[in-house]
This record gives sequence, structure tokens and C-alpha cells, in this order.
Amino acid sequence: MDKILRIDMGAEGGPKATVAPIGNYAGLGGRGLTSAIVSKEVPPTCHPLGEDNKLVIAPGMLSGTTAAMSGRISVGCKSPLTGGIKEANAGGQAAQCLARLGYAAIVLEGKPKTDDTYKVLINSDGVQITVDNSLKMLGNYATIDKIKEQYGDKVACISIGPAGEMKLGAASVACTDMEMRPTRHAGRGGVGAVMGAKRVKAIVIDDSGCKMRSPKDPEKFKDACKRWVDGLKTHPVTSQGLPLFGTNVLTNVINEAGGYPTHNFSMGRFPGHQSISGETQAARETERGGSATHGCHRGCIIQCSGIYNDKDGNYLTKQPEYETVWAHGGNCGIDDLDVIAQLDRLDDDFGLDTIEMGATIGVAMEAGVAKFGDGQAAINLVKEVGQGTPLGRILGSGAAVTGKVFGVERVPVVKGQAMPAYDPRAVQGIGVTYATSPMGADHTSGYAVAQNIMKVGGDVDPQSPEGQTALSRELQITTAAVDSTGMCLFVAFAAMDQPDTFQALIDIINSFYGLSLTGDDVAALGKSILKNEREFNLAAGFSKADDRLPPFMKKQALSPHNIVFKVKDEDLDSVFNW
Amino acid sequence: MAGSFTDDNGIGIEDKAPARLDLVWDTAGISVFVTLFQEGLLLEGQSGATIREVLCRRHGLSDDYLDGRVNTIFLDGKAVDNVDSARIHQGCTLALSASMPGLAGAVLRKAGFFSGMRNTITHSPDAPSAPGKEVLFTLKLFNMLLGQVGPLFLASGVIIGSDRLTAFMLERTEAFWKGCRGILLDGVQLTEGEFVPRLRHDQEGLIRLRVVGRS
Repeated sequence: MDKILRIDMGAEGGPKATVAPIGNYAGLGGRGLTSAIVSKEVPPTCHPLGEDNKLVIAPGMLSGTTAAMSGRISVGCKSPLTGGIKEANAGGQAAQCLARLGYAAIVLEGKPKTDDTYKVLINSDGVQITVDNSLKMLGNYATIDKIKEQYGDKVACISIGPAGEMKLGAASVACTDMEMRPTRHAGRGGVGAVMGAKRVKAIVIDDSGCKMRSPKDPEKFKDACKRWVDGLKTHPVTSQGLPLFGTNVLTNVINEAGGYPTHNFSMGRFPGHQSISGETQAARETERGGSATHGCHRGCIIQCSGIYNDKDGNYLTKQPEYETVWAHGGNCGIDDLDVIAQLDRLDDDFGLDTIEMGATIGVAMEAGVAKFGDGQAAINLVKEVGQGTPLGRILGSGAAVTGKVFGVERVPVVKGQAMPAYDPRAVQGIGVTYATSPMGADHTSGYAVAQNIMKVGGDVDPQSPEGQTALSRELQITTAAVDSTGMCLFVAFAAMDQPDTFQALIDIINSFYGLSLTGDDVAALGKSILKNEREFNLAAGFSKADDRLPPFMKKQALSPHNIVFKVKDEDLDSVFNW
Repeated sequence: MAGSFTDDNGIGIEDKAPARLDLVWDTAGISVFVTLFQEGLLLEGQSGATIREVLCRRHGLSDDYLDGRVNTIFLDGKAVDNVDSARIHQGCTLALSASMPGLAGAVLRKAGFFSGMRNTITHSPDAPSAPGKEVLFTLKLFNMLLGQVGPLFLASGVIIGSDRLTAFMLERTEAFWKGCRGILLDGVQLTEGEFVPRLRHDQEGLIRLRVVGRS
């Protein structure tokens, strides 16, 4: 992973690929690399869909190695949804394959001069860029079928659906999974629209003949990897909760806490929660011959995903995640898992962020476009997006645009990006991260990794009034660092609770790269990433006013606890004081 | 049992004694019954008892399990940090879960490092009180706890609305019914064919339900 592939889509004579050493970006991966390149090379005030924006695709620092759980890939750019910097990441096979080919990043630059659709092949022989207009406006599933016909089913593919080609704000970038299905999405912020603006429909990555990346110190690396796996297999969350029920295990719990946004964030509990819970979902998947325990990439040992079959036992989609089940489920008043699974399939096929789409449909339902609880209406609305009808294009532009078009006051967005499945009025500390993250409302921007071990920024009394902002600061710093490793964030619990497991992760990085990083170094990396991202946003025109939750959060009390968001603005403004 | 359950004002909430239903089912069937805990089932306890007292002393959960595996607890929707200072009362809802993933999971965890991030929904310790009247509370179980301790509570007995149990039974598949090993309603042995019509006939009131597994 010592080289960067740049493809100038606007070059004279057609797209041109160049491969150059990683240079000054050495030592970075994943989000650290995407944000470094975007902040350094993209003019902050450029149009996100214009020639000056760049789409950066970067595997994590440990991707392509034998380290378990290292298959995340980051996609970064200036976001067409938020107008700020964006990093969205995904699982699937792409990170491992790209890393084994030695690429630290792919950077799509410029803008084609024609409306041709392009396909990129990357293998050990080099890079081929070809026009393939037969892929134009195909869904991700049909696109992958054609890719399989041409390249077989051992390759990985990064693609966009019609939403990306239409350059919609909710468009995602899809990565294929172990079965070569386009089910793993870098969903947030409209990264698919930027890929669509570059007119790249698919990037095929063929790592045949490539070996696993070699560590500097194989013995220490092997030992650290073993301790790492042992830790993940010991912890009840990573060894039981996630494998058995997937992330949707959270539905019942968040609902019980009164923090489950329901009917477009108008209530904190959903009466139909048990019908769409992870427990119910897992039982149904098993009963229909699918699977409740499945990995999204080779090397995953947590296996938080699954296979969701239809009533006849045929594959419908991968196991919808908690965020998806919430967004299309409780948030829209829908308590039918089959409907939610169909919506998940449509989102994956059209290339849409399930969180943004669910939140958008919730806003549309509040506007009266459809009734809460009407599953068929929700399916029809998503199909409108895929078809590119005028209504569909509005919805596909996200919750903020839809709220404006339909005159809705209660629009759950920060920096134009829809909030995920935790109402910040109930869990106020999460609201601090929603408000202040450079990414817009994002539940993965401030993850609980190992703050109690690392004590980033010194000792903090988490129970103190200033504890909310201090914790959010620390969470965002450590999460930014983990997002650079390629490690799935679900390793967090084992790393947080088991100091030996956290140390094993540090040892994996050190033995692979021949480094001697400490917790302080990890914190410094996280801070530098956030600094890059904050500075980009400031230069793009963001201010303190953008680090706020929408006004209704402070005015409309959330049942059942009847509370509003109480964190003061001045406290929000102190999050990045370090 | 008539009139034995009272609210805090001593008012009876059940004038008619609950019917007694004892079911014997195969192991797979038990895993279906425990899903009822997602919505909750009624249990008996003494008003003012702590969570530990009611679960461990009264209903047989082990202290080790409560301390080590039940890591996310809600009492009336409020996150509980101390099972020795949160007390049950008539009509309350107690929900139990294992450790949960994600930041929200960490924040909601019992006495976790991040509990300060949800201080507006944290349960405040209840003042100590003498053991009070016999009350009913709703117990909810989620995720791993369904399979791990749901059978324990089912075997020792829970209370469920007759209408809800009827609806549950009517939704079951043929495969589920094949697991039936015995039905005893108020001391009378029933066949599967007799059971559901009896339930449908009398959909009012409460049923004291015991379910035990047999392979």
C-alpha cells in the first residue's frame, strides 16, 4: 500500500490513469487518508459535483492483512449533501483486494467531457478504463451481474446505482460482499453522487495472484492477531450479541430507553418494536433458510450480518441493519420486516443511503405525501427515486431538501444530513456528537472505543456537567483514528472492556508497520484528522451555527420522558477545544 | 388468589383468580414462548423490593448472572445503574438486556463509563423502604437473556392476559404445535384441539402460566 492511483476523468483524449508513490501521505489509511487528500487538494468552496471535487477511495491501514476485522474502506470527498467534508465507510471485499494490489487510495479527479459511462478495471497488470454504456442507469444488482459475466465472481466491485448517476444527495457507493452482491454501502453524505459526477459506474478490483500484505515483524504480528481474535471471541457483544442478532439487537433496547425516533422523531417509542426487533428478525431469517450470522467480508469473525430470504425462501437482501430497520421501520411507523427488507433491497439496488431515505420518507409522511405505517406507499416512494421522477428526485436529495419542498418544520438533520436512530433528546451525549461532527449527524463519528483506557485529553469526570462535551470530544478523536485502520467499529466493545484486547490492536499496528505507537500517538492521529476536517468545513463556509441540532429538538418534548435537548450552545462550541 | 394483587392504594386489580395453565413443550417450543418477554410478562413481587431482591431472592436468578450478564437495565424506561437501590412498585416495567453494541449500548450500560451521556434518563436511586404489598410488575427480556433466563421465569410461572395468550397461540405454526407434550388448565388435562377453543371462549382476565421444557 505504497502507491496512489489517480484517474483524471477530464483529461484530454479521455480519462487518464497515473500511479504515483504515496509520498507525503505515507502512514495514513482509511479516513485519515481520504480527509488528508480532500482537505489538501479540494478547494473547499468548489461545487461538489464539479471538476474540482475529488472522490477518494482508501482501504484502511490494516486492510489486506490477516488481521481479523480489517476490511473497511473509506470514501471521501466534498459532500453534495452537507457541503462539507465527508468520509463514509463500508465493509465488503473491496478494501482487502485493493490493499493487496498495493493501492493506498484511488482518487477520481476532473470531469468527463462526454456523457459516456465508464468502467475501471484494476488488477496486477495495471489499470484499464473503458467506456461501457451498457451499464448506464442499471441497478447495482444488474450491474454486478454484468461484471460477473465478464470478470467472474472472484473479483470485488465498487459501483453506483441510478441514484449516483442522477447525482442525488442520498446516493451511496456500493461494495460487493463475499457472495459478490452489492450490499455494503458507503452510504452517507451523497458520495455516490460524486462518483456519478465522475461518470464512473463501476470499479472492478481483481487481486488474483496477490498475496496478503506482509508485516515488518511477522512473529509479533501473528501473536498480536491471535490475542486480538481471542479478545473478540471472548467478549459477549462481539461473540454473542452481534453474531446472534446483528446490530438490530438494539431495537428493543433503544425503544425501552425512550430514545427510538418514531413517526419522524415525534415520539421516543414505537408500539410495533417487537415485530421488527433483531430477535424477531433473526428467528425469521433462520426459519426461512437464510442466516442470522454472516460476515460482510473475509476475515470477519464477528459476523453481525445475515441473509434475509423472502416468504418463499429465496434471497431478498442481506440482513437489514439496525439503522435501516429503524429508518424504514419505526421512523415511518412500519412494523413489517418483509416491507423493510424490500426497502433495503431497493436502496441497495438504486444505490441509496438507507438512513437518509428512511428519514426522508418520514419527513414526507409528516407532510402528508403518504401515511405513517403504509409500507406499500414507502416502497412506491423509493421506486420513484429509482425511476428519477420529479418527486423521486426530491426525495433522493435527502430529508433537508424534502422538508423544504414540503414545508415541514420537524426535519431531523444536522449540516443537511439526516440523524440516525438515536434520539438526542433521550441520550443527550449522542446529540453533542450529532451537532458537532464535521460529517453532519452521524452515529459513527463518536464511537465508544477505549476512552476509559486511553483517557484522551486527560481524566474526565463523565458525570460532570462538562462531561457530555468532553466525552464527545474524546469519542470523536478516537473514532477518527480507528476509522483510519480499516477496522470495523464493532470491535470497539472488546477493545473498550478488555485492556489486553485494546493492546493487541495497538500491537497489530506496531508490528505490521514496525512502529512503536502509544495511546497518545493514536490520539494525535485522531486530532489531526479532525483538525483537517474542521478547517475544510470552516473554509467551505461553515460556522458555529452549523454545529447545532435543529430547533425542534429544544422545543418539542420527546415522549415518554418528555424531555428536550438541553446541552447549551456554548458547551457545543467547546467540543473542539483541546 | 382473588384480590391478592393490589396497587399502592390497596385497591385490588384482579377480583377473579387467574386461571392456572401448565404447559409442557419441547425445547424449540420454549424458544418461541420466551419471545413473549419482548413485550413483557407479569411477575409477582413485593412493592419496595430492590431489583436484586425481586429477581434473585424471589425468582431464583443468580446474583452472578445479574451482576455479570445483565448489563443494561431499565426501570420504567429509565436506565438503572444500581440494582440494589432501584425498587419495584405496582405496575412498573423492568427490562433486562445484555451488553449492547455501539455508542448507545455503551451509554446505556449499567454503571458504565459513558453513563453521564444519558443523565436525563438515568433512574434515580429509590429511598429504602420496608417490604410492602404484593404487586405485579412487567418483566421484559431482550436478546441473549430471552434464551438464557426466559425459560427460568416461564418454569416458575408468569402471568399473562388471556386475550394476548390467545392471539399468540393462534399465530403459531403446525411445527410449533408438534412440540406440545401436555396441557393442564385449572387441573384439567386438555388436548391441543380442546385448548385453543377454550382460550378463545374466555378471553378476559389473567392466566397464571407455567411452561416447562421436555425433550
